[in-house]
Amino acid sequence: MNRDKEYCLKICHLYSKQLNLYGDRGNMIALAKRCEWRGISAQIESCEIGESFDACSFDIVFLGGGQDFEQNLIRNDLLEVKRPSILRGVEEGVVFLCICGGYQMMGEYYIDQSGEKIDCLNAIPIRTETGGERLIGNLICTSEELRRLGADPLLIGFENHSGRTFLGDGAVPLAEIITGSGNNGRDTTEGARFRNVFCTYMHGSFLPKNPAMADLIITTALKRKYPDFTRLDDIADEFEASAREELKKRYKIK
Amino acid sequence: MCFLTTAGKGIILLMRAVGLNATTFPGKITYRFGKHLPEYLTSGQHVTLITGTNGKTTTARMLCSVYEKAGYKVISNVSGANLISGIITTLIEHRSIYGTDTRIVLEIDEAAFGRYSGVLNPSCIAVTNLFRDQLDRYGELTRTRDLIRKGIGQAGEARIILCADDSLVASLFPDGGENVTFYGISDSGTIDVSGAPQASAETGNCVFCGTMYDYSARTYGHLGIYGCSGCGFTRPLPDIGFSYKHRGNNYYELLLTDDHKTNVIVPVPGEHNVYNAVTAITAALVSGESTDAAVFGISETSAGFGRMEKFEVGGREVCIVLVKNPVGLDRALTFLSNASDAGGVQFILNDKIADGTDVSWIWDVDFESVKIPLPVHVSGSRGFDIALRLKYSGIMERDVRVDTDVSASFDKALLECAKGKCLYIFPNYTSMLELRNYLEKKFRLKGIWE
Ligand SMILES: [Zn+2]
Repeated sequence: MNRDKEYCLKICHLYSKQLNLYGDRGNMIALAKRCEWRGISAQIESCEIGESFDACSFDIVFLGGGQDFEQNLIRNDLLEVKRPSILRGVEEGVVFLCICGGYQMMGEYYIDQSGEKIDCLNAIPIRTETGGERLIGNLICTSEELRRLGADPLLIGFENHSGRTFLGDGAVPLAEIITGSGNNGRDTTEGARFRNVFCTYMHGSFLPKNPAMADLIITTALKRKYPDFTRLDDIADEFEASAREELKKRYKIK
Repeated sequence: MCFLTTAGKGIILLMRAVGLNATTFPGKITYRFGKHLPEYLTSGQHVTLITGTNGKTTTARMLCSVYEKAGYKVISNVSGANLISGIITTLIEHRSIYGTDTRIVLEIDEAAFGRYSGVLNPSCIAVTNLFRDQLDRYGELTRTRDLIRKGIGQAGEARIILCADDSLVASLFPDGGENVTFYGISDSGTIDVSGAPQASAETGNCVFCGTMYDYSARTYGHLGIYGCSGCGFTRPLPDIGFSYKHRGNNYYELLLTDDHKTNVIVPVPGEHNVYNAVTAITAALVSGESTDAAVFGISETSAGFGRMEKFEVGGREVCIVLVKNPVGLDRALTFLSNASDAGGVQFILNDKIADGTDVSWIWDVDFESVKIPLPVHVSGSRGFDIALRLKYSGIMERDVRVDTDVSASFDKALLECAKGKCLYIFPNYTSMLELRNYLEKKFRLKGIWE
């Protein structure tokens, strides 16, 4: 990091009032704090139902999950008001973090319990169908991308969803499953990566619990905004390491 | 039937004799042998069922106190065994005191209520509130409401008591009904709305049409006086109205806005306990008790273990507050930041089945706007998750002491608490049981089991 330079990231929490399930705001807190600790200014704004939205005016856009009730509330606004801007944002490399319901809505469509096909944003090549039992529990997987970057590749979180998601051409899995169900409980994949879009079923403390992933997201946004940006300063993540160690011990992961 | 009751009772005595905790197993096993047992055990009795997310135990305790002071024999599942097995165990155990002067007060889990309220023959049903809690079990908050609706539907002529200030609860009977009694705040002028934390997301929008509610007053969480400009759904006018004043750290003064403007001292701290008190008072009133009797019983209530009751050990006070969901912990933290005697804090977080295995709800809690006395102690199987939450709220790592062993962490926390001050402890369910066992052994505290 160039210490003489002032870095600033603009972050948008889409539908912060409705899509805020299972501690999703923890991800916003993590992004903000991990910037602040390095002297990077992080401005968080929210964009709600009915408000106009310009994805390209932000560096990171966060789309969380909600219960069916809330997701139905925002669906029209998302598809009719915000969609063109989201498509342009994805095209131009804006960083997106999409969790659970937000992940599903970024895809092509969703087939619900009655077999009805519900159109989604069609911003990334993934599709979801609902199916059988809810997939609930601790989820541990490894990110090839983090491994390549020399960071701790293990992602640890908690999933709770009934949708089964399948990746199409161009989308790569965010991670490979060690324990848990992930995208669909069948093909050992979890989440998706497409351009600068990061998607996962791990909610709540996803970024606090996985600091390397949080830093990858911040770094991706900074490199896009500041072409001369190289890398983030290291910070001591002792509690992060210990919290992860507890779960690794429990699932006997080295 | 009689045989099963005797057999169940025998199992309880046997388990107690060998030192086992017989709160649910006898009920489980006898229920398996006689599906009509609950009906048999409750028919002809005056049964009150108390359900909802938070406040079941305290409300039940308060109502028990009202009935006890009024001279009834009271049967209640006070140990918090609120599934059908625990309820049957309670009923079998106390069957010998059944009579015309008996009152049965049961707290019951929302899902169990949906399934069994019909066979428990309730005369009175009270719904406290609906907050986000253990979604990994029920899926959706509106689904929990539907479970409660189903339970009420099976309950025949029971009197239904609902919190008008909770939009989800009130939406069960938006137009009231012959058997329905609403309670809620009556004077927005006495309620301080300035410090009210943000309502949790799922209740900000009207359950009928999705429009954001407008609030003219708010008490805590999403409770308050709300209205929907979209479809016209408004807070039902309470039949039992109240206002309240904060009177120091340990109690509230509650004013019922009835004909006599009855004054009630609620000897348990926290605004949520004012609501619990009014729930209990309303349940007593619709069951035919006098206002005087109801009020006297409330003023004689103690909080109960894990519900803000204070006790002394080693020259310090200890106050344990069970926290199981975001609103509960938000309430506890507000309480802590107003406590002038706080000498230390311990958070304990387990992730066993009974706790809900997902602990990410701690990120929904507003740690940022409260002052937490340092150093803070954390423990439990997910102690490091709480430590992480504290770190991200702005507390330095060096001010957070982690020991996943509950008793070791308690010992250190107590030692670091100044003499004459109070150590506040916030455990979730199974970690509270762990702590209770440890305290019973270490300090030979008798009776904190009740
Ligand atoms: Zn409405």
